[in-house]
Amino acid sequence: MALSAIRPGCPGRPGYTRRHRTMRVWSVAAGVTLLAATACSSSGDESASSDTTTLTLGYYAAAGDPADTTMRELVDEFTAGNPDIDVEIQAAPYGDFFSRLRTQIAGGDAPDVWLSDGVLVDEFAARGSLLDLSDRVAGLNEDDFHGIDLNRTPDGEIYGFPQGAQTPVLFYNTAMFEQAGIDPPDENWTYDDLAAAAEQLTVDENGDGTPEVYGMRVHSSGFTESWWPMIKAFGGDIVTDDNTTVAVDSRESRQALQWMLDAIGDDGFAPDGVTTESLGGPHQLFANQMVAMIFGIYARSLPAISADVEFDVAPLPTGPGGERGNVAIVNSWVINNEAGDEAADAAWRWIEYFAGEEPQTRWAELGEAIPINRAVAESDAFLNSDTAPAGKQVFLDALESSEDLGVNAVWAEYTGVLNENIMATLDGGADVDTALAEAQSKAQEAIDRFYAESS
Amino acid sequence: MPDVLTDPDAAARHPETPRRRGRGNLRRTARKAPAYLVLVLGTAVMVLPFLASLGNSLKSYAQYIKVPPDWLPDPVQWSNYQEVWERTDFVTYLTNSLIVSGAAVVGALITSAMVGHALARMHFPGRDVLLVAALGTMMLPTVITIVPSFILFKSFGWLDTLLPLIAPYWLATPIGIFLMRQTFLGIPRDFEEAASIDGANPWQVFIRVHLPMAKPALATLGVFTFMTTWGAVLEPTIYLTSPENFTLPIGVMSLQGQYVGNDNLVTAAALMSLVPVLLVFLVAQRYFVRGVMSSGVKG
Repeated sequence: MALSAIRPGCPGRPGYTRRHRTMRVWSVAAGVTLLAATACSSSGDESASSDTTTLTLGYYAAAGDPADTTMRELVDEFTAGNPDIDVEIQAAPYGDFFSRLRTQIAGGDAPDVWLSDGVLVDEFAARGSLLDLSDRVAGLNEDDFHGIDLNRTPDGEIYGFPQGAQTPVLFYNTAMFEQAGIDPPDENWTYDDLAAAAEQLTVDENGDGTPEVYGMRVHSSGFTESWWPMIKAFGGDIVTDDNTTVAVDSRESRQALQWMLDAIGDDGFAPDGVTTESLGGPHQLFANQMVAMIFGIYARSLPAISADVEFDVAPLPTGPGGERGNVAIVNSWVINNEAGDEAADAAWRWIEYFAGEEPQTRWAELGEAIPINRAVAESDAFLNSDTAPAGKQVFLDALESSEDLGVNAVWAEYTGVLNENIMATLDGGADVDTALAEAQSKAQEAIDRFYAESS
Repeated sequence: MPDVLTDPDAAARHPETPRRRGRGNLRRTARKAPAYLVLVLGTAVMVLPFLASLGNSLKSYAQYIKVPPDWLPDPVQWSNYQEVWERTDFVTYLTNSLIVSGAAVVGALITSAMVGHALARMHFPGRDVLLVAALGTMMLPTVITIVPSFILFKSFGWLDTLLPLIAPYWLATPIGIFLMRQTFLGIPRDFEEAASIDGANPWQVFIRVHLPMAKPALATLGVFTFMTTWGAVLEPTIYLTSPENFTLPIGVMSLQGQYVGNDNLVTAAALMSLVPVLLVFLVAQRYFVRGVMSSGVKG
């Protein structure tokens, strides 16, 4: 074999050949590159002194965004007040954070505490990844916080402690309303009022049949801000029986979808799916002022503010039965079930700290979420802050009457099936009856499959 | 025919020559005009998106999301580049990417050449099975193997280091094995036999005869490996958690906001990260093209 011919040699020694020199160059190159890689990488396992606990903390935020900066400042303040705890931060943008997290959980290397999207808490909990926080939460006065009840499982367990809340309300462009001479929406608005105003706000300046500005956005893959609250407002249900029975195939759902189809079609005050995407996507239409109204969660204030949109908010309109269909997502801190006792205790101290008035006030100033600390949420710092929207009380009122977003262990899977079928209807390619029947059947299969396997 | 370049008097002796040549050039140019038009259009198709990105990188967020879009930024927001610089540790990301790509290229070249040579030139039991098995791993999407790999690298203590991004390239890559095997198969046996008669052993034949003849393929493999590792997103996202270990792509992506997309900043960062890879491509372009053209040719 060729490799058996390799023998060590040194420059100047008899037998040292060009072959030896080549081998040395390759060996050195290999060694240097691997050493450089090792040297330039922090191992992340620097041992803390014996009387400190190292807490790995994960959250999602864009690097250098105000949320990221504020979170790091709060971590610094937390560790300054808790010198026995060292915090190692693992931050990434939303999508990357959860891609990595799922691999970390599978590989047994997830952070000790992380910020979870509220709709994913049950998914992690049902797979044994989360510590039950029920006993720890019992030590707090639950009335001091928003969202704890929304996080309670049917068995009464709590796996996530609220970090910030989101609930959709009606965002409207105040300048467009003024220009059209329409009174701003209020709590008495119905879906008929919404449609009438949206038609008036739809502008086709050149008369080519394609509006330059639409009154309302209804087509959105982000269903928290479209078909979910609309079906609820029309008296329909999505899931019942502790979120284990899909009930979307109903007369009320058909009515809601028909209202949406009319808005896109005959009434023409909302862009269809293709137009929505071509105008920048469902979450950009309000910020780039292509629509006058959207259903939007609190965080949609951020792009609108960044784009200098003049806007305010109103309660969701009521459907035929007087329902608004308020729903809420409570993004939550969760603790890794594999965290040791010390790390779990340190994690809980962080959660309690973050829920306190000072950190919650700082977080509220970002405009990223409704504060879960009631005292802060009802304070001037939140309700009367200088940043838009002025009517922040609307969010608090909606939150008080909100249901959860059908959260269960297979939320992403079953809502994905529902969304796919309902969007097929809104895109005009599928019959409403067939799509709803298909949606119900397949979504139920997804739920049954998981719970049958886990029972 | 007189040569006006080497004989200055030729033009004077044959005054009609330049005119004829000029008419000839004109006709040739006219014949080529459609081709030039196609090329110009093709170039425009290729270059316009880049120019649009350049424009977008200089817009404010409000102007970035405007519909219909403005082609030119107004006002030009150079501060986007400054903000990217301030928000991220760009030099560290660049250094990490250079280390990863550099080490991966060296590793892929050394090991793929060795394995490819063995599979092309040596006879041993199971050789073809090994080749098929190696190529078969190309069919497995990375996402399938990411969890076992994660557990493996965790057991090595390599998580949040650059090693998981480099080490696989030191175990020969399937595409590298295939490319090098095909290249070595295409070298006539006469060279090997001549070297053997002169006393060269198989290792010397590999190093001193075959490897120099495979330079274009090595350059191709080097460029491919560089581009693959330079643009890799999935593995760095999974393995790296500390910003000081980030590579450029995930450093760029770390700017992506959930509610406010920061797309103008991401575009600026992406353009900044393009510069080094463009330089590498320009330097290696000659080898790259030659290697691609010759790697599939046998004999």
